Amino acid sequence: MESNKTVEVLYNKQILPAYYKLGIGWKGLTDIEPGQFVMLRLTGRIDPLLRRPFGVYKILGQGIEILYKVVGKGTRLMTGLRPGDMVDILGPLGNSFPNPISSPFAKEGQRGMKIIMVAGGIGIVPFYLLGVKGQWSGSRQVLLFGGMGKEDLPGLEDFKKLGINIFISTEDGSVGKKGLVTDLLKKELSKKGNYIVYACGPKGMLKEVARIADKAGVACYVSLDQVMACGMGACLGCAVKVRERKNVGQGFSPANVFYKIVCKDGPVFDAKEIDWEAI
Amino acid sequence: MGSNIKKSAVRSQKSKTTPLTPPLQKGRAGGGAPDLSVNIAGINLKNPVMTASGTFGYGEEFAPYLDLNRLGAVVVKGLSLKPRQGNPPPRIVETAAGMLNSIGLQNVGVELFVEKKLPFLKKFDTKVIVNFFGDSIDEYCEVAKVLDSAEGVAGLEMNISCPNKQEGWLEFGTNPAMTFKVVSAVRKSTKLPLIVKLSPNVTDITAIAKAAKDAGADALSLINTLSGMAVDANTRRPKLGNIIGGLSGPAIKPVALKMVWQVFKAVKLPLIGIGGIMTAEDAIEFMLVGASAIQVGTANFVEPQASIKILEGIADYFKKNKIKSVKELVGSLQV
Repeated sequence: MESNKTVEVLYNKQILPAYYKLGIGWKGLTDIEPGQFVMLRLTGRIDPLLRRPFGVYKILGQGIEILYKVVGKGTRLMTGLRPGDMVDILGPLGNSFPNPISSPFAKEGQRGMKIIMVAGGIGIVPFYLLGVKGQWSGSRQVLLFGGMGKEDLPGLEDFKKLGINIFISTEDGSVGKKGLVTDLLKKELSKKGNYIVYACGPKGMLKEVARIADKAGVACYVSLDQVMACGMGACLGCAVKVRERKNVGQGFSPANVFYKIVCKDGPVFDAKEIDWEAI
Repeated sequence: MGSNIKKSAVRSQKSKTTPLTPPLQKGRAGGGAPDLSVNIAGINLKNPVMTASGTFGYGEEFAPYLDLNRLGAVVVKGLSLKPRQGNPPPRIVETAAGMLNSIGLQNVGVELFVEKKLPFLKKFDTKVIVNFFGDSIDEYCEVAKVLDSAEGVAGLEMNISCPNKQEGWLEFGTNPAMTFKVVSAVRKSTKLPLIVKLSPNVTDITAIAKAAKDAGADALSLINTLSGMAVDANTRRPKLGNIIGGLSGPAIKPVALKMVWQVFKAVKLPLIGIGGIMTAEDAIEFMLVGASAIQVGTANFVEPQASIKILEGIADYFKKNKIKSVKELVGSLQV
């Protein structure tokens, strides 16, 4: 059940030049599923005005950990947070990556199912919970992690500890294979197997991932990022264009709505739904 | 029967929510709660705090976070005759102490609202004010007629000013003659109290206000968003999919205060102040310049319980300053 709380910062540590981990106390925390997010702001401030959406990276005993990248005014201010400072937090919000075993495309003999997680930079965030919580019966996982360079692979150590099979690519070749993470995906999908692809990262990457998965005839789910004001489905600001004209949106009549709302209908979408031309 | 429904709704609300702040009457020393009730356009409100259209969905989105029974009124997202898909994203961008939006009036349409959304709101002991708009005078009138026959609607708020729509109706709110024409036509289409929401994107807002009054408006609400735009210097593109949008938030409060004050002096109609209200102090400022009630807008996005916190702050201000009624404060600015 979502709630709105003012809570204490437990820690805030820089892990890479542009990346931080923020621990937040949250008593009575209910379950958070892989892919869900929270809306966060620094208590008492009206500049920045709006809360910012952050994916939940880890569930701690006493709260949650957010892994964030410094991109603008809001996240720059967040780097100054110290233990004991207060933040306002709204969540958990949104849907989550589906369990492939119970999903409609599950086939006979799911024991061979392989989940390919494709992450670009900060797009790694939803996959830690998937790695921990999502080791669904019999499925195997592989992480394809891409970034600009070795300083753009936040949380890599955490995934190594989980014992997940990891393949890395960087655009500058400073670590892993030089090139794009989508090249790794093409290679992975060329092997025989029963796959499902979960992806999170820049829009250009997601578009290419969706295209590759579609070509290979593999189910693909993407977690989208969009500017949000409320995170509660009220402002309708975080719209994304969808292809299907039927059964979309929140109670809208068919054939009249071409948008879904990322905060409420998502952030995780079947890649086939998204109108990638409009992205 | 009706009151039973309301009670059970309150209970189910409470059981679902995070701890609610106690009712105003409880735990507040001396003399009981101040009388915050106010009559606007013939609608009796238990207090002057409303939620602004487009910032509170259809009420249900906020129900997990606050007790809707405590609000003076809920003003729902603007409705058109048919459902609307809205504008291409991005639809939102934050600006200095404010935000620009170009949602494009996405809504479920008046019929689906009456069928699916209104029954939920009717369960609460708050007034439901329905914001609406049209592409043409005929459409305005048709929407008003549908709402006129819907049970549970306390009043209408007519949007003649949203800057998001690219088609010609922008001129309704920017031209006194067009304002008069469309408000007159709607006036004949409904018996419900009629509030006209004014655009700030005009040369002389008092001329539009007078036209709305002459056409039969019962009250005026102001201001709608200020037309604006945001540009990304790196990509050399507009930050909104629609290029232009409407500015709201604390940044527009001074503009809104001035316009409420101007209209208060020029037109004898109850006014509802809107524009960047984040705190009770902001709300009081609007009352001082002539607003009988206020609407909380962008603040709902920042803080889901903002409207309730503002309501509590107003009550505290009344108590502290020994103010006996809203009327006493309205337009009492010392100049």
